[in-house]
Amino acid sequence: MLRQNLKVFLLFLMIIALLILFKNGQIFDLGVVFRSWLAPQGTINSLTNRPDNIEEEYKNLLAENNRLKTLAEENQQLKELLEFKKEREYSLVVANILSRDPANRNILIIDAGKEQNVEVGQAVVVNNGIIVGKIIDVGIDSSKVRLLSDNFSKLAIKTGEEQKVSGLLTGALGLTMNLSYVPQDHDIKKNDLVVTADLDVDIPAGLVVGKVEDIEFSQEDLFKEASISPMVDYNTLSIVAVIDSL
Amino acid sequence: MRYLFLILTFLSAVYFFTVLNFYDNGWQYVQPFLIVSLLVYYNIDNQWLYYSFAFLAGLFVDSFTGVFGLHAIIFLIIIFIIRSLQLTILTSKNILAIIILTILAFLLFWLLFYLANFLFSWEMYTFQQSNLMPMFKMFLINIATVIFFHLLYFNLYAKKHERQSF
Repeated sequence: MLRQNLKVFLLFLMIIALLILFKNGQIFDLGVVFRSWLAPQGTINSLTNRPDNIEEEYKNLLAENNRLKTLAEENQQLKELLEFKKEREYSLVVANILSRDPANRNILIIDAGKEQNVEVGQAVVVNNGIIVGKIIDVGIDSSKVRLLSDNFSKLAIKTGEEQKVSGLLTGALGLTMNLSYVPQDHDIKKNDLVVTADLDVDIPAGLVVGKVEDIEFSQEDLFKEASISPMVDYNTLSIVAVIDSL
Repeated sequence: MRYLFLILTFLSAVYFFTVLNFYDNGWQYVQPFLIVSLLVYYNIDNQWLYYSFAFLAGLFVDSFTGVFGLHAIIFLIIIFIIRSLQLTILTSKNILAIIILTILAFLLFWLLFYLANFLFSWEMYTFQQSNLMPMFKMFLINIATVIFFHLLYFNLYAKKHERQSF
């Protein structure tokens, strides 16, 4: 009887040991067997395993997304230039900005030169005719553009309520622009639009430059001065157009 | 009838186990499953039945605890030891033997859990000084319950239907 008791006890102990091993998945995982019976292994794998190339795909999509964003931006700029061309009937040479002059960040190098009839002194515009600079040097297929914010840039402009107030626009440390030589008796206000004057033969009149920001004057001075904020960020330019014939 | 009795006993143990575990003032140390396993052992001669009952009872308790199988193993060891004792020393099933075996069963229960805690750090029950008094109280209640129900069953049913020394 004792032996029989021992046998039964050991049998139940073995059953418990097996149950524990099954439960912990050390012999085989009952859960896996059950799941694979319910759903094919392929389905389980596709749901539980992450795809192998997910990171690569993500990088590709990220690159493609950036490329498309750039293209959309470029497309928008070109559309605006096209509208500007139709509106004013100018002859435009569209150019990409290749780089900036390492010595002076306000000098841009564009991929249009003599072959595209670009000449020194011509106006460089973006969007709907916003002037950003002038051609200062022309190569065979590239040119240098001096931005209006450059210290050596000078441009005759008009401002005021009816654009009858003349002045001289100069660059200020590559950051902003200063308006000077505005007679004291001429009235200018903040947010007055600043446009090009018709003094320069290569630069058409009425191209938008920016807006009046701060006005400075005193009774002792002969002229008023003002700082002008540009209409576009000169650091984010990518496509420009040169007005090669008026 | 016997199997129906076993099922009802098991279900009542489930009920008391669940209810008593809601209390935190020592009542959680009442062991309904060990009580019914002992009662089943005392009143059924078929070893497959009482071993299976202890096995299932232990597994049921284990389904609520962190160490799967520990209660089942301990219940089986207890049944094995008291069965071995009955086959060697305490061969009679009189009330004194029942009392001794019941006390021994619960002593073994706590001893084995203490060993599991001490050797493997399986902390099923917290053996702190503050818990010792409730454990002892419930230890007595457990023993009294087993003896009471055994006497009840014996006097109301077994005396008339089964031949048993008492």
